[in-house]
Amino acid sequence: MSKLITVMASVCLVAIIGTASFAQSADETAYRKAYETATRLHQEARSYQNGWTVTTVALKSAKDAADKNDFASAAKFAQQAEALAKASVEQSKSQKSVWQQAVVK
Amino acid sequence: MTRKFLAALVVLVITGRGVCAAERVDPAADLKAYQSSVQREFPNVKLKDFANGPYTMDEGMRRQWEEIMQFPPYDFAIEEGKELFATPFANGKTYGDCFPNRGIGIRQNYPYFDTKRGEVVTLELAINECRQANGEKALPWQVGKIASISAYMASTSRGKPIDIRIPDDPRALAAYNTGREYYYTRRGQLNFSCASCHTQNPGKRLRGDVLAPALGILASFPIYRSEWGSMGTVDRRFISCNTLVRAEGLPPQDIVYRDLEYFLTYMNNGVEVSGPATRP
Repeated sequence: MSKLITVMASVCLVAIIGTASFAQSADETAYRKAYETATRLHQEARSYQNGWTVTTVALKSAKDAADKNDFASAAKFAQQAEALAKASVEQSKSQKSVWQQAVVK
Repeated sequence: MTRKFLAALVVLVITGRGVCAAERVDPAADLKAYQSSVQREFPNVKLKDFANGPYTMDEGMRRQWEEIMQFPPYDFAIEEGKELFATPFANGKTYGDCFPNRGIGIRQNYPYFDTKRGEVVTLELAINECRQANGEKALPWQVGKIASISAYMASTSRGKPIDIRIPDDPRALAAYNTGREYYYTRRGQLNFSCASCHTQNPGKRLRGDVLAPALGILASFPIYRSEWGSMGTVDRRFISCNTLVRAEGLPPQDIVYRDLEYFLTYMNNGVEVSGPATRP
């Protein structure tokens, strides 16, 4: 009976560790993907002289969390940075065609 | 087939006109249109008073300013700048040797487009280039001694109308247009352009601040800002404005910032130099 309990406990433990490790791996993948995209888009925005300070902050927060192996937070910050960088590029591109409408004539 | 051809022709004509319109930049027409629009909006403010920025827009602020001006906080900078300006470099030369009229009463002509090098030269750039040409290290761009030297030089131009020229050189016009585009382009997470505050909403409040029109802004530099607690150059102001709208500032004296200063100072033509000055 005690053998059975030990086996069942071991199986549960392996399952828990496996799930946690899978979740961390998924977060890490999400972080790396979002961080790479955000960095590329942020550089593109800078080429328009329009890098956003908040993107830089979000990228740094993502990196700091990843350095502490907190990939859940890292993924969250990296995805935030990605959204901000994407918006900064869209703003830059749209302004290229509309800024002249603001000129006083 | 004929329809397709006609449609293509119409598109070509329309886009062609669009390109021509985009490329046709007329600084004199810009200046007239801009100054007229500001003066229509503020009919009771004289042209020279625009150099006093928000203090001309709000009666309460003007009273505060009159009290501040009994002991102007920039006076120390003028004194320091005067001394630095007159102190010889290690090789015995002085700043006066680098400038027309020995640097006295010339602020109203800066920035200018240097046709030899094909770019805009600001007063601060000329000050640091003078130092380097005489074997001295360049000064930091935004605060400190460079602001003091600039303050002293500006003080010798007080009352002289700003007179920025755009020479007959396509590169000068391109520099003007780069500055113009930067001024009117929205940027940063807050989606503001320079024009959002200083052309579209002068006289209105942004939180506690009364927004000054672009007309007169660059007549007053360098400035002592209470917010900073010290003097600052145009670079400091540009970077500070960018940061406020959550956009990254450019490096001081970046070519685009110089072009922006060129455009903006040209828009101030005719306003008398009042720098150095104080701001909230």
